[in-house]
Amino acid sequence: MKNINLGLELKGLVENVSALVENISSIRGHVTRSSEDIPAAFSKLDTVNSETESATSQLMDILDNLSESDKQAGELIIKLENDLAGKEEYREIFDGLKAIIDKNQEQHIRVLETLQFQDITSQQIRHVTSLLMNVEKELSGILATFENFSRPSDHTEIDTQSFNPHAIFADKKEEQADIDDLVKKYRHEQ
Amino acid sequence: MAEAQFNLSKLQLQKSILQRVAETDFSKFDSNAVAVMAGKTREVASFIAAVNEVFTREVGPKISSVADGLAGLRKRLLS
Repeated sequence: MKNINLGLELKGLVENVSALVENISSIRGHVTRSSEDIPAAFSKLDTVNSETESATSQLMDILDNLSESDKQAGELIIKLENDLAGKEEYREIFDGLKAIIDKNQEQHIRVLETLQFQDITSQQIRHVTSLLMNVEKELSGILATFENFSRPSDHTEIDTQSFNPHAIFADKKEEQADIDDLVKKYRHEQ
Repeated sequence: MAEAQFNLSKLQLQKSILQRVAETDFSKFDSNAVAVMAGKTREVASFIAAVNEVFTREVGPKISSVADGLAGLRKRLLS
C-alpha cells in the first residue's frame, strides 16, 4: 500500500512540475513578445521626433524669410514716404501699411513662440522612451532568469538629464519674458 | 552553486526523470523508508502547487497585463 502511495505522490509531483513548466513557458512567452514590441515602439517614437523636428525647422526657416520680407517692406515704405514727403494725401496709406507690417511681425513672433511645442513634445517623448528602456531592461532581466540568456539592448542609453519629464507647453508671454531675461543675463555674463 | 541559476529546459528534463522514477516498483524497498519518501514528496509537490497558485493568480495576470499594454502601445504607435 505504501509503495503505491509513493508512486502516486511522485505522479502528483510530476503534474505540479508540468504545471510549473507550463506557467513559466506562458510567462516567458508574454515577456518575449513584450521585449519584441518595445524596439518597434522606440523606432516609431524616434520617427515622430525627427519628423516634428524637421517640420518645425522648416517652419522656422519660412518664418525667418517672412520676417526678412517684413523688414524689406518696412524699408521700402520709409523710402517711399521720404520720396513723397509733404504729400499728406498718402499719409493715411503709409500709416495703414506700417500697421499691417507691424501686425505681421507680431503674428510671426507668436508663431515662433508657439513652435516651442516641438521642444516640449520632444522632451516628453524622450521621457517615454527612457521609461520604455527601463521596462526593456527589466524584461531582459526576467528572460535571463528564465533562459540563462540575456539579449543585449541595441539602444543608446538616454541621458535622463537631457529632458524634463514635466515639460508642458503654455502660451504665457510672462514665461517667455522670463526665458528671454535668463538668456540675456547669460549672454551678459559671458 | 553552479546549478543555482534557473533553467527551463533543465526543469523539463528533471520532470521526465521524475516521471521515470514514478514508474519504479517500490515493493523492493523498505516500506517505512518509502512511506517517509512519500511524505517528503507530497511536501515538495504542495510547495510547487503553491508556487503555481501564485503564478496563476498573481504573476501571470500581471505579466499578461503588461504584455497587453505594450502590445497596445506598439499598435497605437504603428497605426
